[in-house]
This record gives sequence, structure tokens and C-alpha cells, in this order.
Amino acid sequence: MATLTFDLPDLFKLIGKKLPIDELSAILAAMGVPVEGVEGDEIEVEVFPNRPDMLSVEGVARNLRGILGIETGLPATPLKASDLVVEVDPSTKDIRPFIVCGIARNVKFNDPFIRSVMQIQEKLHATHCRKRRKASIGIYDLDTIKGPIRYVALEPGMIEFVPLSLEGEEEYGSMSGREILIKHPKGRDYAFTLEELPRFPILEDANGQVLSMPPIINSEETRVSDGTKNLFFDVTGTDLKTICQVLNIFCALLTDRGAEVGSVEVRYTDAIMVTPEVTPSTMEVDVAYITQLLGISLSDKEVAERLERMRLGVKKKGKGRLEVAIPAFRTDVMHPMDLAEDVAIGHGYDNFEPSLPAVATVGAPLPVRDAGDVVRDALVGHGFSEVITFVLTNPDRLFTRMGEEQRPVATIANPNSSEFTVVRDRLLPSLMETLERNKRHGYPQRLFEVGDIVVLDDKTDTRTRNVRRIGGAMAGTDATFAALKAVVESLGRTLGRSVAFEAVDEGAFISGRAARVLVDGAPAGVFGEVHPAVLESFALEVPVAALEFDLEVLYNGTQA
Amino acid sequence: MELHPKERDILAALAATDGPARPEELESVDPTTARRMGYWLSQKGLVTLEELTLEEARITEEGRLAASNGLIERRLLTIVSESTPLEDLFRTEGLSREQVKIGLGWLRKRKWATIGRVDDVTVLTRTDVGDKAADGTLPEEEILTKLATSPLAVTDKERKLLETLVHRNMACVSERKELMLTITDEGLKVLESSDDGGSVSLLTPVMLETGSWRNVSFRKYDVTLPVSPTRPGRKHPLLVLIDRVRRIFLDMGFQEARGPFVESSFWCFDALFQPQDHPARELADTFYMKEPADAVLPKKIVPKVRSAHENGTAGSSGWGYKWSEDVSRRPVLRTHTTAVSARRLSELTPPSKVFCVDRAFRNETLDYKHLMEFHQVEGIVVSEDVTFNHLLGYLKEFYQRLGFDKVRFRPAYFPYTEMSVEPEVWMPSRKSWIELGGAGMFRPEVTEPLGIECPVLAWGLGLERPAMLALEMDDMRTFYRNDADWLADAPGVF
Repeated sequence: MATLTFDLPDLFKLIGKKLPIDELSAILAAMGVPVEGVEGDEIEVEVFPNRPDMLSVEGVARNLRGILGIETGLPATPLKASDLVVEVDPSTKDIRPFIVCGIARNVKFNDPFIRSVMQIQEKLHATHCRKRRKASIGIYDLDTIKGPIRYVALEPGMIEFVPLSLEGEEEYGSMSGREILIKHPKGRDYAFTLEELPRFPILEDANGQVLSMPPIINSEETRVSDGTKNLFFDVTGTDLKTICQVLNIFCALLTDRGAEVGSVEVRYTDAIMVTPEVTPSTMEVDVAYITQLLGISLSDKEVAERLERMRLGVKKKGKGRLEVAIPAFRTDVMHPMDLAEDVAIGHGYDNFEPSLPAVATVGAPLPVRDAGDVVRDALVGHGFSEVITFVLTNPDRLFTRMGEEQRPVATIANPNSSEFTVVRDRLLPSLMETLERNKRHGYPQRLFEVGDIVVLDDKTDTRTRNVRRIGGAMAGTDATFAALKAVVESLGRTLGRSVAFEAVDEGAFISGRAARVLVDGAPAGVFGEVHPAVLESFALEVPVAALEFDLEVLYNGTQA
Repeated sequence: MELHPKERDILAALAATDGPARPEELESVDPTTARRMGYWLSQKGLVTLEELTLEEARITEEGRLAASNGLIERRLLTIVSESTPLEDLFRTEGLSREQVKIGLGWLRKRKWATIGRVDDVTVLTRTDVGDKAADGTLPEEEILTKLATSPLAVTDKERKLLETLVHRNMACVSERKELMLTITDEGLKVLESSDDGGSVSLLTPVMLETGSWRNVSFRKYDVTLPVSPTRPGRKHPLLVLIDRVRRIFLDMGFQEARGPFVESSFWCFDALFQPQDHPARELADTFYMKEPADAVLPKKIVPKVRSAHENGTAGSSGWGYKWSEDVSRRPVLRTHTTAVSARRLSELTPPSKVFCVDRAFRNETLDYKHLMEFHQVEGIVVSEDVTFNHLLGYLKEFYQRLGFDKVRFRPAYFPYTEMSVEPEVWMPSRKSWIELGGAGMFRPEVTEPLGIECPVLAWGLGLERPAMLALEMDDMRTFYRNDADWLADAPGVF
């Protein structure tokens, strides 16, 4: 979840209108930018991952202007060609193969503008750029650079420059590429993007001055300050589509602040690109498709109007058909359905009139859930309290404390605590732990759970199988084999099953005081008096009798 | 007013006493009960309570000796007759010189003997008073005898004598707080009008057998009095909510489904058009499995899902990256029950409505508002005729049936739905809108590879949160702690 903090007066200046906070919050939420909080002049909003173009106050303002009807349709994206050239050296091909660039002149920085430029980089890097791995932005003072610029990958030892010091840090001395990864805070943070590569990418100008080592750090030499008037910027990365999107998102921000964005020629060995490429893409769509999907009746004009409020360009293409122009900074429109959503948001979710369709279907519960309900009712009738326990557990609880040998079980590769490392294949340990936790409450205690366990099974596609189990335990001086057997026999009668018993020796039970239950000859589970060693391991000081059955076998006589 | 038999006993005992009485003084009532019931009776205005400070005299070790051996002066008196030499007195067994001197003082003070000199020898001669005293008992001695058996309350009459004993180190006096009960006029009235013996408290089998119940009246209970709590066998509150949710969807014509906890990345993410570098798939959010190490994928569907991701499908441009089958085979603990919906979509024939209430897992650290496993209710409606408006209709219907009257919708984002929406319900107790889950219409990139060519409405709604809000709890872990008191006392109504 990406959140964004910005200045309210700055937002009002950008949209050209002041709004009461409550009204603004409601409009933002309806636009898909829920407000997380307002403190003084600061507002914090959430931006969904499909709209990285709104990761700045400028982006939010751009869309608000549309929703408020202040300025609708395609935002203007003026672009002036420049004579700056960036040459891409083939050495970058296996390292970080793609780069796109742009310039901006007449940049008039003020505090909110600078803050926004910093913030959008940070937010884009964290989300759309996948922690700078997929894409990263570099911004430089254009006036410190002499073209043409070269994008090249060198052995780390061959790279030498003074990296940009961060706020509050002293200026660094000259460092090698490898040193930066070790010594510079940003180098350490993002070392994972480069450290395994034989060469590191850099940008350098015609004087051989290093501009940056993407995606880690710029050089001190090209630092952007309050007084900077003209910018050069690049986006490098592993995915061309993504870096073009990021460049366009950034250029739109600069345009909104009144800067003149200019294009740069990027020369690959096999192709020449002029970037940014701001031409909108187009998609044709039937109005009927949209209104049918949404279930509302809107005219061609009304649909067009809602799309324009969402800052899309619309051209009529004959009756019932529209050509929609999508700004180059929008990353989320892949299918006409995405346009339908823009119509829905432009229309306002609050303006729909929810209704139910006439779809004739017949409801049906899962038989195993129904069986569970019969058992739950029966056990509640026997005075057992239902519990609900985690299916995630650990081998200590599952095996050791139950006095059982370790069995292969479904195991988590990346557990976040030693408490929860495997998926249970028995219910009983969870119940024993519940008794342990309830020690202070006095006795008798009776509890049960009807829930899933997971067993390994090579015959299924997930190589596991969920099995519905019944677990029950009674604790207290009355918790005897006979008392529990009475419950089991009653359960058999309730389910209309004939149950038979045979002696069984299982680790968790006292030898000679446990029985296997057979339903129509099929083993359905065991019950008995819990072994004192197990009681001791759960710190229990009263006898416990417990059962664990396979629900489906008990209910059907076989496993489904 | 109906009286408990014990209350009646106390009132009767108090009525028989003149003035305030200590609980110990009441006949046929044990003091502890009298104290406790006395308090209860005072609440009813039948008794007044007063705390008195009493002086109490107790015997000392010295006093005990005197009580059994006699006062020193008495012991000396037995020796004294006519001109008894003083030296004889000092030879009295068991008395020190010091004690004999004290005794001599008392003999003279009491005028039991006179002291004179005969032939330069100091002698004592018993007086008439001494003769008389030899056969009598001193008031001090009487008190000392009483004190030897039990402590005495200090009364004005005996105060002087006691002071002497205290002075002679044979007794000590201390203060004690004592509860005094006095019956009020109201108490007397109630006592008079109360039924004294004909009422019984228990109906016994013998009464029924013999029919003697016809001749007794049953003591009326104070039905407002508290009783000791009972611990019932009952269903878990969260499962009561889940039962209710199942009932709602069954009522609305949905079929129930289930699926495995351990799920392939394919069904959990890829079939739902979540790109393989999507943040939700990272280790920090999803539990991946070490055992089993891989899953088997549905051969027929895999190529379609691959092309949906790589180049798009059905008029979509897709994500445009190289999709990996190996990544897709990695088993996870399903992060949402939407995996069950994806599986069902690949099997079903429209029109169809399916729901599933079950657990999902996230790589969260357990705390008061985060669980690493939780419950979701998942639903899909698959039909040619359904619209976004209907999706909102189902969500509104569901929440209203669950008891949330006001429902509103906000735009949201999920990679697998377009028109994505977050339903919010109004919680009057918190005076705020609460967001409860996600919903939307499945994207064609999801449905087409699974062989579905009509719109699909879908939702995955969390259950712990509404349950927590409804029960006004502030810690989600409470559901899974199963504290016996909580299980017994938590409301089971939603």
C-alpha cells in the first residue's frame, strides 16, 4: 500500500479551487484515493498500485480537476525537441539494458514542488519500479552536463566518482563502484540490484564526468538544488515498457508545474528512440459494452463525459462507438474493461442503484459441512464447548509434547516465527494446548473442534489433502475412558452408524486405555485416556480423555 | 417481606437480646453468618449496625501464676500467726526476696498483719482482718479467676480492680472493634409477621411420595439474588457468525465449495492474473512451502494463463513479461479463498453461484489486529446477464442480512478484478464506516483462460473483523485463545 503526504494549500493551488476538508475527502475516496488522515495543512492519502500516475500531488490534482469539471479530457503534454543525445553502449545489454531520458527547462522550484519530486521518486521506486530493480529515476542539473551523454557498463573498479551525500551527511570523497555498495547508505540499501553483476552501469557526459550509477546514486557534481533551472533526467531498467511509463509519469508532473519538457535522442546500437514518447494510445470501445457491464443506462454522450472527467480523450466513431485516447502516463488500461471502470468511477459508485439479478440457481451446502454441524450439535449437547485453533503449529507441539515420533508434514519455507512453522496433521495437540491455556479456570472442562488438518498426499495436484477432523477433550477427575466412550457411542447413534471398538497402542494415550473406532469396519479414529507424560508436557494436573476422528469416515463409513 | 430462615434466626435472636448485641452473643447463629447476614439485613433496614470500640482485659503470665498459686500476700498470710519472725517469711518456697518484700507491703496495706520487734527480732502478727481474710476471697481474685478462662470486657464496675491487676502486671487491657447489631422497629415488625416454621425450602422426593407437600408452604426465594455462574457447552462465537454467513449464501441459492490450504502459486496467483513480480507474492506477504516442494499444474489451462500474462487475451495487452511455469508450481498457503473460486471457475458451467467460507493465510506477525490465518467468505456469480450493479446488489444484500443496514462502496484495486470495489458498512457503535473486504468483476484475463466467457462477479470478505466489531472486542487473537470464561460468556448472536 502506497501512501502519499502533501500540502493542502498546494493542492488547492494546483486544482485552482479551495474545498472544505470533508467534501475533499469524500471526493477523493470516490475517486479511488482514500484519505488516511488530515493534520493541519498536511493530508495523507492512499494510492492504489494501478495508478502510479497519482503518486504525486500533481497527479492527484490532475484527476481532481477532471472529477470537479474544472478541466476535463486529455491533459496537455507539450514537448520540445532538444539536441541532447544519449548514446547507449552495448556493454549495458546484459546488465541493465534500457534507458529513456528527458529534459526540462524553466523549472521554478519551490518547497512543495521539490518535496513532490523527491516523494514521487521514492514512491515509484518502492512500488511500480519494484524496489528500483525494474526501473529507477535519476535527476540532474542539466547545466552541469555537457552532451552527448554515454550510458555504459564498466567493471566496478573502473568506476570512480563522488557520490551524492544525503541530507545531513558530510560530503563524500571519490569512491569506486564497489565501495559505494559498501560505504554509501543507498549503496547498502540497493546493493542487491547490482552486487552479482560483473559490470555496473553508469551515465557519463562528454567530459567523462560521471552523472550517476543507476539504480544506486547520482554524483555530487550534478546535484539538483533549489536554484536549479534546467533538468536532465533518465529512467533505466530491465523492462522498457515500465521505464517509459515511469518517464511519462514524471514528465506529466513537471508539465503540471509549468516546466517545459523536452525530448532527448537515445541511440541504441540497433535503434534510435526519441524520448519521452508522450503520444496517447487509443482504444475503441462500444458504449453498449460498457453500459451492459455496469448495468446502468447511459447515452454515448454521458459515457464520453464520464471518461473525460477521468482525463481520457474521447472521439465519437459513429453511433455507439467511441475512440478513447489514453495518456501515456496511465499504466493500467489494458482492456476495454478498464475503461468501463473509469466510466464507473467518473459516474460515481454512490450513484449506482444496487439490484439483484434473476439468476436461477439452487443452493447446496457441502455434505462435509452438514456432517460437521450434526457432530457439533451433538457434542454441544454433551456439554463440550467449541473452540477454534490455528492450523499452523510447530513440531514441538505436534510431535514432541504429544510423545510421538516426528512425521513428514506440510512445512513452511519462510516462517516468521518458530511458533508457526508447519501445518498440523492432527487436531489433538491444538486442544491440549487450549487446555494448558485454560488451566486457571478450574474443572471439569470439555472442549471440541471440528476443523481441517493437512496430510501429504502424492496423488493430488497440490501433493496435500485437507481432511476434516473432529477433536474433543474432557479434563477433570471425571475424564475417564468410560465417560468418553459413552459420548462416542452416543455420537455413533446420533449419526446412525454402528461403531465397533478395538484396543490400540498410541503414544499419546495410556497403554490399554485407548481404542480405535471402526465405522462399518473402516477406522475412523482413536480415543482414550491421555498419557500422564503428555499431560505433564502440557503442564496439566488433571486427567484428560480425548478423541480424534475423521469426520467423513464417521459420517459416511468411508472417506469421500 | 420474605425472610431467609437464617435471617429470621438472627432477627429472633436480636429481638431476645436487650439492646445492641455482638454476633458472638446471638444464640443458635454462628458469628460469621451473623456478621454477613447482618450486613444484608441492614441494607433492608431491618437491623442497624454499629461499630463499637471495646476495652478488653486479658491475663498475663504473672497473672496466671497468681491465679493458680494465689496472690503473694495470701501465701504469706498462711505463714503469719502470732509473732512470726520475718526471716521465716523470706524462707517461703518459690518466692524471691523481692517478691516477699512486695507481699509484705500488701499485708500491711490490707491490714492483714502488724509488724513489731520482739527480742531484737522483727516479727509479724496476724490481725483480725487477716483472720477473716484467710477464709474469704478478694474481688481481685475473683476477676483473676475469670480472666484465667477468657478475656473480659472492661466495665466501669470492675475498672478499679482491673487497674490494680494491671498495675501489678497480672493483666493488660487492649482496645477491640466490635460490630454491634440492633434490631429496628421495622425488623421487629417483619419478624412478627414472618412465617416461622411452616415453610420449607426443598421439595423432596419423600414429600411427593407421601403427598406431604400438600401441607407445607414453600419458602419464597429472593429471585433477584445472584447465583454462581454455569459454564455451558456451546458453539464458538466466530463459528456462529460463519454458520450465519453460510446460511445467508445458501438461502440466496449459492453452492458451497472448498479447496486445499496448501495451494499452487498457479491457482493462488497466476490464474488470477497476478503478475509473478507482484508485491503480494513476495516472501514477506506469502507463506511458501518447503514440503511439498512443488505442485502439478493443469496442463490445458497453463498455456492460456501464460499467454494472458505475456501478451494478453481477449483484447487485452497483458503484462508483457516472460511468464515462468516453475514459479507457478511453487506451493503456498493460500493467501485468499479466491483460489477456490479460480478452481471452481475452471470446472463449472454458467449460470452458477458458488461460495466458500474458509481459512486463508498471510505472512503476518501475530498481534491484536493481525492474524496469520483468518477466515474469508468468497463468492462468485457467473452468468451472461450479471452486471456491476448486481455485484453491488449482492454485497448490499449480504451485509444487510448480516445486520449492517448502511452499506456503501468505494473504488479499489485488485489485479484480478476490474471494477474493483471495497464495500464499507456503517458501525453505529463506532460512528464510522468500516472497510470489510474486496470485490469486483473478474477481468477477462482471468476468466477466458479458465473457459468462462461471461461476466463473473466475485468477492472475498474478511470475517474476523466484522465479528470483532459486532462483539466489541479489541483483540482479534481472542477468537483463537479460547479462554474458558470468554467462550462461556461471549454473546453468540450477530
